[in-house]
Amino acid sequence: MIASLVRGVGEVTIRRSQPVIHMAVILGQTLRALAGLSLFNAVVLRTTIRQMDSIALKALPMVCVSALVLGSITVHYLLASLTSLGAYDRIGEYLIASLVHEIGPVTCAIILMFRSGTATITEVAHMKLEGELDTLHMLDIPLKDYVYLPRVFSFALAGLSLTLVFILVSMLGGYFTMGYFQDITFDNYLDQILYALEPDSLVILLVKPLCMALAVAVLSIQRGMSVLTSYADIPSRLTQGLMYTVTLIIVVEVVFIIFS
Amino acid sequence: MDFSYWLNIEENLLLTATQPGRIQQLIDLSHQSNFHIGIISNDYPLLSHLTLAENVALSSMYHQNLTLTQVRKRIQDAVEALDMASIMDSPPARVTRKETLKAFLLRCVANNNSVVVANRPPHSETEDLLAWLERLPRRMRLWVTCLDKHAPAYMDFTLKKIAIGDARRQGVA
Repeated sequence: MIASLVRGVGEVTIRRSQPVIHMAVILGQTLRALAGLSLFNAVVLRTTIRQMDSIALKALPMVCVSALVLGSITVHYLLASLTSLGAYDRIGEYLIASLVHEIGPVTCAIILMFRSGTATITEVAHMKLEGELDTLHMLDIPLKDYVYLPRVFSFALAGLSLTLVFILVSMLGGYFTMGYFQDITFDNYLDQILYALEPDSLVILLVKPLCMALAVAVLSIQRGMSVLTSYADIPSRLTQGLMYTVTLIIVVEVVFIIFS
Repeated sequence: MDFSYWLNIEENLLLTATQPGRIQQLIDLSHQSNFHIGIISNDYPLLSHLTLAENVALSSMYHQNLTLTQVRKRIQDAVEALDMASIMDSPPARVTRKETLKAFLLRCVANNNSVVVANRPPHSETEDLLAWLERLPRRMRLWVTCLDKHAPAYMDFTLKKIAIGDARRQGVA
């Protein structure tokens, strides 16, 4: 009775922890490839540029539109509330806290997840099912160089740059769309934001999007690689991938709330 | 498996085995041949997101850090010999089976393989491969693998028959 219970718990633990271990392996191998300067290899560089185009550049319009919509609403309500309360000196602080710390990184991670994460899961699963990963093995091209590094690196760079673009567009676009109705000049608005920027905010601006983008990238590759035998597996892996990514984004968010 | 013995044979070979596992073992060992041996098999397809040229050049670009242009220049003669120049920028999904086979062969040319292993090819493809190998500027040998029971189908080609795992090294012309 006890033996079967222990065996059952053990089996579930091993089964559940396998994806996490696989993700750690993918991340570790990516870092090894990065440290080994594989990025300067002609094939790896070419693949990375191609991935950056599809992950970062093509997501730019969606990020700008989202930033404009969310920025307009956030800036409008924050300015309306704070100016009506006479709390002019808190405007920058609240804008930084909402747009830089929370809305920007989370929105960009969600856009990356839905747009590029799903594409990566499908692409990697297709490569596995079609035997293209075997071709790479036959040509002696390691997966860490051709599959992992270009995608993880592009996601990381996309996470950082898209979040930066999101914050700029939401803050500036937000003011020019609806913010100028409020009782505050543009100069004053900018001064408030620059005055409220602290080193902590810059660290969060760099590290949080990076962590979230890495989580999306590694999980997407892992889910794609976990497809077993048929294309029928892909939709379930996609759904699982999205659920796990949302969970990971929440975990990163909670970690930052606890430690900041 | 006596690779060194087979590599010293100048003729094209028909490598037969009683079980598919033996052929797979040969294919697996070919991976470790330091690019002496290239493989033509549907188990190792072209990458669908690359063009034929990129597929052909991939290994050279990675291992020798060459640009695509450099590799294309190096294999230009072979590309022209196989009448592939006009479709090298097409994706694999848009080419015929024969053109895909030619791309497999060009991949071996780009990798400087001295031997090409065709894994259980149909009769017509074996005929095509032998003809195309004749047209290439650099000599490459063909090793055709098949099961014993399918060997008679290849008897009309000039292939030296060797049984995989045959310790007596008996060749039957």
